[in-house]
Amino acid sequence: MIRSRWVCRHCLSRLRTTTSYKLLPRPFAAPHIIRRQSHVAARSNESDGEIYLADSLLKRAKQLSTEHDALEQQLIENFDTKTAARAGHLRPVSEALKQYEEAVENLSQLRSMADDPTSPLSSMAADDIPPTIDSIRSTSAALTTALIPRNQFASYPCTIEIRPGTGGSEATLFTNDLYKMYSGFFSLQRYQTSIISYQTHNEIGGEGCSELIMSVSTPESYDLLRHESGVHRVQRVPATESKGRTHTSTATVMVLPKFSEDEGDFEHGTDEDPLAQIDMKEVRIDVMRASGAGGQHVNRTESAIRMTHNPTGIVVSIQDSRSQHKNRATALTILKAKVAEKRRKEKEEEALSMRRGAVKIGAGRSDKIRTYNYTQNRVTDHRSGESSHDLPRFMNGEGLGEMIEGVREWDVQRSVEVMLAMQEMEDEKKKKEK
Amino acid sequence: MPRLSPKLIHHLSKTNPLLPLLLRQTRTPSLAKAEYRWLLSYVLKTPIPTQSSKSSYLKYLCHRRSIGVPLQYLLKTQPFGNLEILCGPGALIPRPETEETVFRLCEIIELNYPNLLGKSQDRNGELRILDLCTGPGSIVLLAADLLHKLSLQNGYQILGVDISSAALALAKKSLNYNISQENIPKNVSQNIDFVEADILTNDRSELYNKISQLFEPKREGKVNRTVDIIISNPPYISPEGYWKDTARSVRLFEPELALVPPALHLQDSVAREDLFYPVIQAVARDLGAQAVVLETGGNEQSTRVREIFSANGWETSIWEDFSGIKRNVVAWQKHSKWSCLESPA
Repeated sequence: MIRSRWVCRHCLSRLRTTTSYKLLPRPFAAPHIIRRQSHVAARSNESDGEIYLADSLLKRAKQLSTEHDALEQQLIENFDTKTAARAGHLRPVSEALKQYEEAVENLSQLRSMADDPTSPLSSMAADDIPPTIDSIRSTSAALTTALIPRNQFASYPCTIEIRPGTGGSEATLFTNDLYKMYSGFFSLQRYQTSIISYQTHNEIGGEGCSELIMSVSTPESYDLLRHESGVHRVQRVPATESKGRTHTSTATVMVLPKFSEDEGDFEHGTDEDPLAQIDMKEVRIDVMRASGAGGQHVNRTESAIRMTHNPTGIVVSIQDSRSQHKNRATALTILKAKVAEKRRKEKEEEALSMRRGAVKIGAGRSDKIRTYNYTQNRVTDHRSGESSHDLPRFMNGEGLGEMIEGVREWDVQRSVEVMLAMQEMEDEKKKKEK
Repeated sequence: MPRLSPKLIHHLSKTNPLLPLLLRQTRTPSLAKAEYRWLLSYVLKTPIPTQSSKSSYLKYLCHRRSIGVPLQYLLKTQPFGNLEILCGPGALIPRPETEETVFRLCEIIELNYPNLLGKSQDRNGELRILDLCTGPGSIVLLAADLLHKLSLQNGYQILGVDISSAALALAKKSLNYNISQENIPKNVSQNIDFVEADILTNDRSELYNKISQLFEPKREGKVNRTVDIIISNPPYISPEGYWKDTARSVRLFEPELALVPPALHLQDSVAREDLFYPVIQAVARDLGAQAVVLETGGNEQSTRVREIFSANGWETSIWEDFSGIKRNVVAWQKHSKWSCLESPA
């Protein structure tokens, strides 16, 4: 048994993903979440507890599933877009939970049949147990992914920006290498890309790049590439180095969702503008009319219309024309344009704040997410802890996909941990209240 | 009427000396400014030879307005939907409530059109609308404009009936004016007609003959379903209400004929302001109308009119106007497809 007093965080996270987590002293071991598919060798001697989902995770799934059912019921009674959207978000969870529960039920039935030696089906049932365990495993994995909230911009295409960080001209050389790596990766993936800005200048030892902005127009590419944001560190003997010392330089990569800026052929604020679509239920229309009998009793010339868009609080009042009907149409057009403008502004601000939050520009060598070590022919991702030992191949973009996959798995696990911690906190709160 | 402060009048007269004149009727500075703008743009459009006479004409119009002449009479028109209805002494100025009613009705027709077609064995299947007490023809013209845009499969026919020859003359002028302004296409006039007739007579057979002749010129004899829908904005103000509730400008300048029902055929059971509604109900029965859309003076009258119709076996509903007053009573034959009239879209 390993009883170390001190465990490196990366080692800890790697240990936890394998079956050897059991070797760790209790306080270090996080509650077991799901087993990774790649470690199925030890299947025969594992206990039942390990193929099932953690209780708290299951509890959360059940909670969401009940919420989903309630929402569905509500939708049948009266349709509302917001409820429908929420129900749509929860549907995968509910479905995955059903599949999972079915598989668990199957397994217990098969077990009881297999244990009964008198039954003629016992041998058949015993044969069916391993595939059922597999299906539990796959459905529980599906359930875990369904539980994790999808990134809100996951469906968007993206832009990727690479800039040299610390390290001077060596950093610009490395930036160019990264650009080549990503363009190799995109052509392997058959992603459509276009270069927005590529600024090069000759350095000793090759071509350096001081800025690269590339847009990837394939949808969902943001979801794949968002983990690439961060500081990439290189350790090598640069071409500019005369004394053979290893230098450490960095380049920053920024991946941002691309909101369609080239939205097509329409003027902003017109009916075709998707941002100008408003629900008339959310618009309050006030007619500027004094109270009274109205109708034939008066012939007011007052024709003003005031429209208030409740969600944004935008107010438009119009008294241009003598016709109330025309004023109404004008007011609606202007209201739509104003709402679209406001939404556009908000979107831009959001994009800007994402940009600021994405990465600290010029971050130091220690905030790295990945290290490219040329002297050791190694690329290590510091989040998933995975390494690739074929650097030239990796720099052609060939190993990048696997590494990204590793990071995504790491991200899923981390999200699950966060979710569990939140769930536990909530539970404790409830207990205290009781 | 609240008193206008001299300070406000002084302030306005510094901006423009004509504004205090308009303020007498409008009571609010913003509306006075708007009316001034509309008058000015009208004067600038009207062909008058020299600059000096234009400014004196504008002054004249403002003086007329200050004594209460309706702005619509001064500008000669009132916008109604996309149209401009000609206005003049002798006809009621179309009201925005009526405009809203027509829009709602046409919207319902658009949504339910193929279902609403009558059983078309005995006729061409076009949608037939009868507008009783049409006045300046505003309902007829706007409905024609809106239905034309729907390009209904079997077409439509709209007939306006009124007792006043002056109003009908204005209605016909309005039609030509809107065609000349290209607000409506020329062929719309084929689907429109106006008839001068009195619907309050004891013997309505002459009226029915005129109507069925216009709808079915080739057919002779009795037709059991001549119209699909009757729409009407009849005079609905009581004699007391005429002195109490109406605006001074309405009393002084608009025809009483279009506002207060005449003292004819009075029965104890029916109040004078409701005089037209039982008659319209009878006409609808006689002509086999499937649905009726009526404008009333407001909440209590709507309730009374609704009772008149439901007592005669109609299904009824009430629509509220934009200021929340129960403005329209709608009625339809039981088990007919016009039950979609129940609530406006």
